[in-house]
Amino acid sequence: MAKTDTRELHIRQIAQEVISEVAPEEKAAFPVVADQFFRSGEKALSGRGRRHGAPISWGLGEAVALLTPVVLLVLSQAVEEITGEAVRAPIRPLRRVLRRRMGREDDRPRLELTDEQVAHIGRMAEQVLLDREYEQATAENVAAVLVRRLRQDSE
Amino acid sequence: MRPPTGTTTRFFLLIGAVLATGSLAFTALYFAVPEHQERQRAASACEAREKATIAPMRTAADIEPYARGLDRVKRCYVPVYREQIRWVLVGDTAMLGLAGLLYLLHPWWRVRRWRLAELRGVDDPGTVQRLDTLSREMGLARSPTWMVSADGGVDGLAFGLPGRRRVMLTAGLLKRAGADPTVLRAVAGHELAHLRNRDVDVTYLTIALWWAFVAATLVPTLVVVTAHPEVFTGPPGWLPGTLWRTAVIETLLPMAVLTAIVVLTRNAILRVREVHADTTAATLAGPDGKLVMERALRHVPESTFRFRPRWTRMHPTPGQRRAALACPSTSARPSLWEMAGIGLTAGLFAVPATFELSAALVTRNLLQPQAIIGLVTGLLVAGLLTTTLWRWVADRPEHRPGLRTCLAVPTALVAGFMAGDPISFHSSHPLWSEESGWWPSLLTYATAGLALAGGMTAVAVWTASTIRHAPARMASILVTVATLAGALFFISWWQSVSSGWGPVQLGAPPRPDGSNAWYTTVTRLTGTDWLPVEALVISPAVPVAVLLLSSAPLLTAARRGTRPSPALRIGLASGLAAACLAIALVLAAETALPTTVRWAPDCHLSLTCTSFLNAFTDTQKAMILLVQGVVAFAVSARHRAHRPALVLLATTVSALVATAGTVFVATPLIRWTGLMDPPMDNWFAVPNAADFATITLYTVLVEGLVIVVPCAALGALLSRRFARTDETPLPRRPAILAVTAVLVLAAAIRIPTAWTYWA
Repeated sequence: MAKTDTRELHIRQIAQEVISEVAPEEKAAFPVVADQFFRSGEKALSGRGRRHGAPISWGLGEAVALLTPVVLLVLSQAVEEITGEAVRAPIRPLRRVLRRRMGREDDRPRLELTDEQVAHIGRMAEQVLLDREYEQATAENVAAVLVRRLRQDSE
Repeated sequence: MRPPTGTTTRFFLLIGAVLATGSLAFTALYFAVPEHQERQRAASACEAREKATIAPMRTAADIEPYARGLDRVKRCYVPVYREQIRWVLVGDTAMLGLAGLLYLLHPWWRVRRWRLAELRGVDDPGTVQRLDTLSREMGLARSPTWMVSADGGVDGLAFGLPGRRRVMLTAGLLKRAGADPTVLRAVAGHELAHLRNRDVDVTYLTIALWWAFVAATLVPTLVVVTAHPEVFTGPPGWLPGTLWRTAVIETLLPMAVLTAIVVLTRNAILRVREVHADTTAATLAGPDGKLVMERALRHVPESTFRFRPRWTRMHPTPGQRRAALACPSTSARPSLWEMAGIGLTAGLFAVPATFELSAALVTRNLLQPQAIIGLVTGLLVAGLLTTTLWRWVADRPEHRPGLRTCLAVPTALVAGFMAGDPISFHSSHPLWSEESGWWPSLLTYATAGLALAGGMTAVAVWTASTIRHAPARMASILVTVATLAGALFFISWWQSVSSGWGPVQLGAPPRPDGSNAWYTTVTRLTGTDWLPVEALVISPAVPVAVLLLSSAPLLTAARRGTRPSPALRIGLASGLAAACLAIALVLAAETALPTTVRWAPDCHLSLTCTSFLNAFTDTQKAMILLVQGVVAFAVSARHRAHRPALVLLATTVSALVATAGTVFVATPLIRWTGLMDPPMDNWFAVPNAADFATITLYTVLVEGLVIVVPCAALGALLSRRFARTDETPLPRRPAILAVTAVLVLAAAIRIPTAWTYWA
């Protein structure tokens, strides 16, 4: 469990950095979207966390495709493929709070990937984005940023 | 001062409907407890026992023992009714308490259920700064706490308790705002407008009230009453016979109607708040606020259930929101269905409440409980009507309220109220009696409904007309006056309905019995009586209502021009003419009729004939009423602005002068000439002159309505031909103050005497 916890944290960190670069307008909502993704990936990917339409809300506006869950999906699938373990949400809030309090957020192991593995993840990200009807340029941009970030991590 | 928004009135309607339904449900639950059924049976046995001891009434001496016997019968049920009322009060209080608790918990629930997180400045300083700036532009003293949800849709939501308001924005909205910042302005502006309009409390209280109603009232009643009406007494099983009568007809049907009202009112409140927030945001969120809102609303997709009726939705459709943005006054237009719902709620409340209060108070004077419930109901009904009209007039001051506003709105209100009587299925039906038969009941029902509709239409016309011509700061005073006058009228109407409406009765012929002389027809017509009108004449509410309705509009009106108004002169001249006719009638009768007719023994206690005194005074009164009709027509035809107020002032002045002439000149003349009796020495000293004058004045004013209202309506129809100008000069303020002073004096004399009818 501790292993998946650190992996999830690592995926979050990489994804947040990628999103800050390719979709800065999603930065503010990143924590809640990531939380939702690790609770229910399907729901997060569907674009609708919860059907609002509540009284004194704006009303049901059209859905906007978020990049955050897609990047998280790519990274989770890549880790799962490489390590053979699915990343799941750890139910350890107390431990998380303690780690934050003690300032050990950055004290985590790095993902050490080979150049082939990084390139494979890049191709995978591009394909996932294209499958989800993103434009070619967007898919290439996200893949390039992701590859660069993973290489930094592996060095 | 701005009129209260539609939400306020609807919120009160919601509370009224919830409490009325709660009362019905808790009464049903009360009787489901075996111990209470036992007490009811004991009370019935006590009633039978006490009834057997009452001696029949044969002479006047039997009246008091008979009344005491009836008191004993009533006392049998007092413990049951008082406990039942306590039960209802505890149930309603618990329901309201639960609603309060749910309201207090709503921020915690929203954050937890939707897993919201605070939008931190470190994550996106630019967005937070923009939102805080918008909040200041919208006039909020303090920015709310911004929250973010993982939802990919473009949406926002305001919630929170006073002192800690929050606004949730979705991830989808923040993403869209990156490409198009106006969307964030529109959605956040809309939510901030909710905070500015203080919608959050009303909305979440409405929702909390709904869930408390479902949990504490609806579900327990449906389980206990529908599933098994004798759940606490009999063995488990299905009892269709009992179910049909007690559960379906007496409880479930009215409950279904009331629940429908609760649901529809809840939806109406929520829809109106949305539209109101859109218009507020469009006005306040910068110079291009309207364009931003219109553009953002184009992106809100239509509901998949496009043909679903509007009144079943909690949220308005984008089309309706765009239409309201284009023309904000459409949201202020009174809805006829809504008015009918208000009336129905009031009807369902008033019928059982009057019965329960009458039973619990043990008073011989049934007018007291009728007056109490009539006042509560009247204030609700008249208050909602007048505030609706105020809103309508304030939103379109340049428009004259049309027939729909002044006639259809009060008629819908009254139709709803009248429907409340049979739907309540209470054992005490004031209007629909199984004993009196189908046709008499239908006639009673129709005439009572028409009378109430007429009264409420008069209140509506008066309100709309006076508010239009008064400065905006005076509108609240006029609405209060109209509400009070409407409630006072309603009390008298409710007392008449509850005590027995009765048909119109022609006067009896004069002596000798069955006379065929020419004056027989006249006497029968002038002596016409109708119990509701008599009840209104003796009501202590009438002097107050006349004073308020006559003086308030002209004292508060905005004055233009310096020419004196002819309305006051018409009133004075016609009053003098009526007084002269009354004096001339004395002389004519004294000359034409022999003493055998004029001095005949009084027969006022017999129903077979009318005494000469009654025949004469009725004829005098009829002449004054005819003059009142002419005055109403003349003033109404001549003046288009301030019409109701001027007609009322002119007829009141005419009645005052005519009454003074009749009481202080014609009556001494009668005593001097020996018209009724041999001539008197102290002919000038009329006994109880003040009381006589005030009862004459209010009789003329109340009975005069029968002729004044149609004549004024005819005058209004023909006013295009006769009215000289739209700008109507008003009577000078000292003249109005003088009339007011006389009316205050008359009310001060009349009210103590009239109060004895209520005491």
